[in-house]
Amino acid sequence: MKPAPFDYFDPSSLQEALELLADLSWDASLLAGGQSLIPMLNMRIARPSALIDLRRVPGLDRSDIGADGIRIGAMVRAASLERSVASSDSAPTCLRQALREIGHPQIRNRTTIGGNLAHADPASELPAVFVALGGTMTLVSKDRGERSVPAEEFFQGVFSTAREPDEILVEASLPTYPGRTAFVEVARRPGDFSLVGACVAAVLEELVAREVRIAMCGTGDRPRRLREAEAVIEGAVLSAERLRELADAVSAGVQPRSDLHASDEYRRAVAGVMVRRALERISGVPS
Amino acid sequence: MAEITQTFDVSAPTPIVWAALQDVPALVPCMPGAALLQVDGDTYIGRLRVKVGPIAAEFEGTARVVERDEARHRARIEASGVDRRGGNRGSASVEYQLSPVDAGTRVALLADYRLRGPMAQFGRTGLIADMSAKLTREFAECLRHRLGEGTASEPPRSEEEP
Repeated sequence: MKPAPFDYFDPSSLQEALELLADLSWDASLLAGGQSLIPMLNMRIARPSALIDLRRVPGLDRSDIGADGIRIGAMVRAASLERSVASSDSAPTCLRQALREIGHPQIRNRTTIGGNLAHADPASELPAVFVALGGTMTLVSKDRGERSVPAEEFFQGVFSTAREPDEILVEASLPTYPGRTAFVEVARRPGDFSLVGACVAAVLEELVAREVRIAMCGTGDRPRRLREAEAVIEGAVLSAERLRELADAVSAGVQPRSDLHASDEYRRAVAGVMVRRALERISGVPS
Repeated sequence: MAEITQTFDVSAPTPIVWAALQDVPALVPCMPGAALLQVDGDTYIGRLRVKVGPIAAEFEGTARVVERDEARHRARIEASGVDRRGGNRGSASVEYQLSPVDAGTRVALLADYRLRGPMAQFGRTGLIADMSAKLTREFAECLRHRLGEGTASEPPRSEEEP
C-alpha cells in the first residue's frame, strides 16, 4: 500500500518548523529518519494530514562526546553515533551495544536518535539506555521555548512521551557514569524488534557492585528502572548465587504483556536472563 | 476490547458529585480531545480526537445516558463513534457508582472500550488498553481537581482481550 494523501512541509529552520507545528492540524506529524513513521504511513496505520520534514533544519545533527557526558542532536543518525561512540573512550559501552541492535545497518543509516526516542516504542533499545543512565531530553516549542525532561519522566507509555503536540525534541543527553555498562537483548531474528532487552550499569570494586542501574525494554509499556532488583545487588558481592537472586527479582519486578511475538511468561523469564547476562559481561561472574 | 476500572476519591459530598456528573456539557473539557456539538435530552452528539504517537483518529458519534439511578447514585453512559478517515469504529460503555467515604465521595468507574478497524488490527496489544487507561486517568484527575481533591487515586487497572 501507499500512504494516504498528506501535505508535505520542508522547513529550513527550527523556527519555521516550530511555527508549522503550532499552526498545522492536530494530526500533523514530524518526519525525522522515517524508519518508524513511513512504514506506518505505507500501511495506513497512521494517516497524518501533514508531514513536517526536519531534514533541512540546521544544528540538530551534532553530537558531542566528552568527559562530562554525551549530547546528541535529535537528527543524528544511529550509524553516525555508532561511529562516534566507537572512536571514543568516554561513551558508555551499553550505548554502543544498544545502537548495534537497532534494526539493520540500512535502517541505522537513516534512523535518528531523536526520532527513535520520540517514537517511544516499548521494544526500543535506546529509551532503556537513557532511563538506566539518567539521561535528559530537551524539547522546544514556539510559545514556551526550551525545557528539559528527565528520561524517566519522558517515556509515558506506548508511543507516548512528555513531548507536547507543539514541541520538537532537539537534543538528548547522557551524564557521565563512573562504572561499567552493558546492553543485552534477545530477538527472534537479528534485526527484529527486541522481545526483551536490559541495560545494566554498576561500579565494581573487586566484585562489590555499587550505583547499580537496571532498566528494561520490551517488558511493559515503557522502559523502567527496576529499583527493587537494583537493591538486591547494591553494595553486595557478586556471585553466581547472587545473580540468580537478582534474576528472580527482575522477573518478579516486570509486568510484561503477552502479544503476537512472545507470552508474558516468556518475557518475564527472559528478563531475568538478560540482566544476569549483562552483569556477567560487566563483572565476569558467570551466570 | 478493553476493560478499565478506576476508583478515586473527591472531597465533595456525594450529592454534589452526583449533580456535577449529570452536567455532561460541563464535563466535556475533562475529556482531552472531546468536543460537544449538540445536545438532545440525554443524547449528546460530539467528537473525540485521539492521538497515540503518529496514529490519530477522530471519532464522530453520540453518547447517551442509558441508565440513571439517583437513589443509588449509579449511572451508565453508552457512546459510539466512527473515524471516517481511518475507517475505525469505537464504542464505550461507562458505568459509575458513587459512595460516601469520610467527608467525601468515592467514585468507581467501570469502562468498557471496543475498537474495530485498522487501529485495532495494529498488532501491538496493549496500545488500546493503555490509551483507554490514559483517557480514564486524565478524566478522573480533572474531575478530582474540579470537585476538590480527596486521597490520591490509584492508577487505573486495565485488561485487554487479545
